[in-house]
Amino acid sequence: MKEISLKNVKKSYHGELILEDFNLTIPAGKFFALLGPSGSGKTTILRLIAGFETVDKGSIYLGNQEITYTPINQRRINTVFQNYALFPHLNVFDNVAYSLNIRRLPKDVIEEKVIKILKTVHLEKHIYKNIQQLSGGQQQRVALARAIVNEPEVLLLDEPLAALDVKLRERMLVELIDLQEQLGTTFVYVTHDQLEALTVADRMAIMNYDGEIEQIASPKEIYEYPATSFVANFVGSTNIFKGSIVAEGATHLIVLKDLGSFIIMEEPNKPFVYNGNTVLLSVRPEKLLITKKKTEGFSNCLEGQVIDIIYHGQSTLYNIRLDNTQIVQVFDQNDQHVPQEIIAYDDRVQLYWQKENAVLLEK
Amino acid sequence: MMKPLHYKRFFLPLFVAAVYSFLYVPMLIMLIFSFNKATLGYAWQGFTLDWYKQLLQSIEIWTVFKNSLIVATAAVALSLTLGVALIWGLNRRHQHILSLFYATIMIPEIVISVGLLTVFVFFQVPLGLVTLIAGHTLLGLGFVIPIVHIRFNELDRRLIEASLDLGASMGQTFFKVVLPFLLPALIASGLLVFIISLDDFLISFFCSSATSQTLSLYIYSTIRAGVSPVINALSAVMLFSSSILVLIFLSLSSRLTQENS
Amino acid sequence: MNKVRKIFSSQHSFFITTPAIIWQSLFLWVPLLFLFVASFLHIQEHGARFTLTHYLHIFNWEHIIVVMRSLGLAFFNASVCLIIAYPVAYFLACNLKRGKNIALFFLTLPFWINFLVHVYSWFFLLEHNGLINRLLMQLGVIKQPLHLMNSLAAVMIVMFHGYLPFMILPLYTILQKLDKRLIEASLDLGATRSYTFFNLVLPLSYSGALSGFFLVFVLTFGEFVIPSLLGGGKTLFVGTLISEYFLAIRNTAQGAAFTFLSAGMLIMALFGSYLLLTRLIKGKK
Repeated sequence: MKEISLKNVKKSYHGELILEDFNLTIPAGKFFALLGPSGSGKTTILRLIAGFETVDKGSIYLGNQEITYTPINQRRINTVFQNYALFPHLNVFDNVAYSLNIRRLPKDVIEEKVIKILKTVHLEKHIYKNIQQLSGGQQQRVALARAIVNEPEVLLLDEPLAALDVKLRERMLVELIDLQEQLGTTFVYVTHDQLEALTVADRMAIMNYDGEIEQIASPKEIYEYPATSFVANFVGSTNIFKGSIVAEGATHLIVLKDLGSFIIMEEPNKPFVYNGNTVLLSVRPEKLLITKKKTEGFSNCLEGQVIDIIYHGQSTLYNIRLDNTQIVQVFDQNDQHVPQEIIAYDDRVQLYWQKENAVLLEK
Repeated sequence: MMKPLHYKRFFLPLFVAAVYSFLYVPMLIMLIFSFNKATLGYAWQGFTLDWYKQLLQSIEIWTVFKNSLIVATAAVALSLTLGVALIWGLNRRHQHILSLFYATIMIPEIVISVGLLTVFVFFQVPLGLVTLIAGHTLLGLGFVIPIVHIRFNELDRRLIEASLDLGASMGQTFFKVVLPFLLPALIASGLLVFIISLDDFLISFFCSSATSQTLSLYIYSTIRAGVSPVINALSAVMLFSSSILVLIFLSLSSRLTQENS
Repeated sequence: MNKVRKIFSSQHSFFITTPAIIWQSLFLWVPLLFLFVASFLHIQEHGARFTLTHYLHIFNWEHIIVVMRSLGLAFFNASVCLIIAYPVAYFLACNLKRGKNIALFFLTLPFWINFLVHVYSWFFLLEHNGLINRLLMQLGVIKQPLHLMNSLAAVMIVMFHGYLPFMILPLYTILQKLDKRLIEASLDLGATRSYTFFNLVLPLSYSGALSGFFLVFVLTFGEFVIPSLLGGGKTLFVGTLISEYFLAIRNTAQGAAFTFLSAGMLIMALFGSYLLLTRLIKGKK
């Protein structure tokens, strides 16, 4: 089991600088997700690891071995392409057996391996079909089988589910998780869909538009404790407030312009939280309680007027305009058939949250 | 670790460069010799433009050039007109008729040439520019029809419907909507037919008379005797004009394919 | 849509479509039919009668050798062109990142240069005092100038030179359309570049190779100019012999018979080449 590290990598493409002094270590044997918007350079990183592109500067390591200039076909790394890149003139069996044929393994060994892997991806009924006869989901699984039959050290997946519809995608995500657990191979999964990343990853990295990593952590950590407002906004949605810290003795408050002071948590790990400094406060929509009634037991409260109500079946999204004209989003789970409280347009509502459920951010 | 340079990487580009050189070395040499003072032999005897002067003053060459031009222009005009008319007027049911025209490219030109000659002689048609035009137009149709047909199939039929819906007649629709759309294909195939006609040898060889010599025939009869410096100059001029035509053609076809992507 | 259909099948469209069809029939099909019929006719004073004598006359070793020679040359030329053109087309379509436009320009240019100019340009190299001979003599490789001009060698070299672009272009066109990611996938799975070429690129570009091969084959087979100018007149090819029949000997019937005999053998050779190439490129399994 080997980890992958990129050290001080610089890469330009067509004159545009994509990565500069880029460092990343992907832990061995885990399902790692690389999440970021289009153009963030995540696909470039994948292509550099696979060997389709070469770095301008820097180095890439597989375990202790430097593979910066190793040719594509000598790295023990395989790729699942976004558009599958299945060989049109070969059937399913021959596509999957391609790499085994190159290694000139005996025919019976090849047959055994191919059939076994096709059973693993539930394609045992389509072994000798032509590629064109398969559906999108089946083609995707052939691409997967073809890449893992080789037992690579690392499997790279470049937005593999992008072309599938939602229900199929959900099913494939679970299958991928099971597969990774079964094989123990390091999976590197690149996507711009945060839901996919949150679902599959043991560990994930968020990239921004400038090719920099904003945060690397477990999905839960990233969601509940984002490091920057970019992460907070990119993964899920959030409400961001700007204010200054008042920290005197036992009291820790943040003063938000025109809204008042609110209680915050003591955060000794965050050096930027000191008296007088301007910081950002992030409160996720599901952490706010929306109600017209005065409620006890909460650290903080905001008041506003309902301007939008969007029904999502499972939950309802409210847009609330605060007294300082800022718009705040609130998720309310529809946990009752007949709600005890009916909130309508233009109603004046209270938004409550606990100080533990807010996150302070530097930028 | 420095990026290693595998020597094997250079095999292919070198090979390709060698092939390209092979393709062009003979003509470059001929080009150089067109400025050579010597009339016979291959020794370099100094730079001169005399041959080009002779070229410009040669009545013979201007005559054959004029003939070639007349035939080529007529062939282009005719094949474009006939070809477009066929494609526009053709019923969807009768599309297979178009395959008749693909035969021109598949049959060796010498067979076509002797066939034409035989028919002309039999019906006592006097050989000359007219028979040349007839033959070259035939060749032209073989190129115009495939090229324009492909372009025509890319036309969204709903544009025609929209035009009719807005009150235009079929004829007006053709000139206002269809023709402008076909234009790049028309120019591209027109250029192609033009150059094919200018360069054509076989049909001209079999179907022309003494008074209707074309450029290719003139060159042929002259070089049978050996090297001629004026032909060098002529070849150089033809090389140059071909290059310009290729540039035009390539920019047109790139525009055609750009529209599709 | 009904109105459109009605107009399309109306009377006047008949008049605009027929000229082209008439032209094609008049100048291609009628002449061919003419030749075909003529090859079976024995013209006498009071009419003509059906005969096979013309075909019998030409079905002798002398004639067959000419056709075989042309077939052999055509096959050889097409094969050599194919082998040389493939790497070039592959390089241009798959490896070349920049300068594609320039490469394409120089690839297309030979098509637009007069064929006679093409052939003429070789005079300077092949003649007694031409560059090749002078170079070899100066280097001391040969003492006497090589007899290059009127020879089979000259014909073969110039054929190759003239028709190579005809092979490169169709190959390039089809290789351009190849999904480059397939090549990446192949390398990713452990294949070398040459393995990828023979097992992936070749099968997928097979139709381009075939059309290029047939094109060069047919063009080389019926070639007249090159053997006429560089062949020396002693060895005959199909093109020059047909020309002899129609212009020098003026025996239309026999010439027509020979033409169709050659065409028939050409078709058989093409079919055989098709089978051979298909087995070679696709039948590796």
